[in-house]
Amino acid sequence: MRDIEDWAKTRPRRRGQAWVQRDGEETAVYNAGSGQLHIVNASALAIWELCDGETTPKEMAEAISELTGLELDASAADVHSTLMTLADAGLVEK
Amino acid sequence: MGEIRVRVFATDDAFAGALSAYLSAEPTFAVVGGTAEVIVVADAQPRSVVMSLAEEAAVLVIGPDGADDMIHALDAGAIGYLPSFCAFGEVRQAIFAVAEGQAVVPPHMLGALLRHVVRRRRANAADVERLDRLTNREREVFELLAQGHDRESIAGRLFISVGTVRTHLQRLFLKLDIHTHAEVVALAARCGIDIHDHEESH
Repeated sequence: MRDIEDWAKTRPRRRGQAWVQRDGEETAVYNAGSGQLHIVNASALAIWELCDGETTPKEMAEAISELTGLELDASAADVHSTLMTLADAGLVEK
Repeated sequence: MGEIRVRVFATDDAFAGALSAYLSAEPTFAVVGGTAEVIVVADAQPRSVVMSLAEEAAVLVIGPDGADDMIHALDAGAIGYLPSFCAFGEVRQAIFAVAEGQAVVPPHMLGALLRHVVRRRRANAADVERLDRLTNREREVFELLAQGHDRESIAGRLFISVGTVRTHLQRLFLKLDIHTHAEVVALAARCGIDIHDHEESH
């Protein structure tokens, strides 16, 4: 729970120099800083693209909820989970 | 699933013919020239076409592979968008989705679309904050003006003088930094205010 609260106060920012190569439903994101290549799906990429240092996780969840019709709680949980995964991969920072 | 009537609207006759022939092979589709559940619009600049068709059917646009083009089409009322290089099979799948009211966007444009939604929501929140500057009476006058009432009508509905209405209008125009009736209507619509006068609709 504390993790969710921590993220809620942030404006996540994409990390490093990422190079994006799209191929169908998946995208390869290359983090030049770590030298690692990460395969992400469309929704994870979309959230990664929203990490501009200005957009809050709440704003991300509300936008997704409006677009998809998902309940806000479900969207917020998805956003949090994705941000955690992207952070673990070194692709976003708080 | 029942039959889905599909109409193809394209500026390129050859493309329209080819796509119509392809879709006609789908047993659950009936490609028609008139009333349809789904209208496929293949046009480089589809906005005006989409706006005219979106009220009668679910519109799927096939257009340029650009996020701005997609956003313009969706803002005009389209439910789905595919880039022009998409395969006919993707059009077929998209028709099934939009027929059920599902939005269809290219996966690689999802981020751009979400950014657009975030920006629009921020702008709407700012508009709502602007309206919060109005007094209750000014808000009433604003809403009646947005519904198309003139000063005399507003005065009659609120049991105040025309002069008082004029004063309220001056104040709310100043507070909101707007200058025309069109701006009033646009702001009201963005804030979700009903701009139709239901009392006159019976």
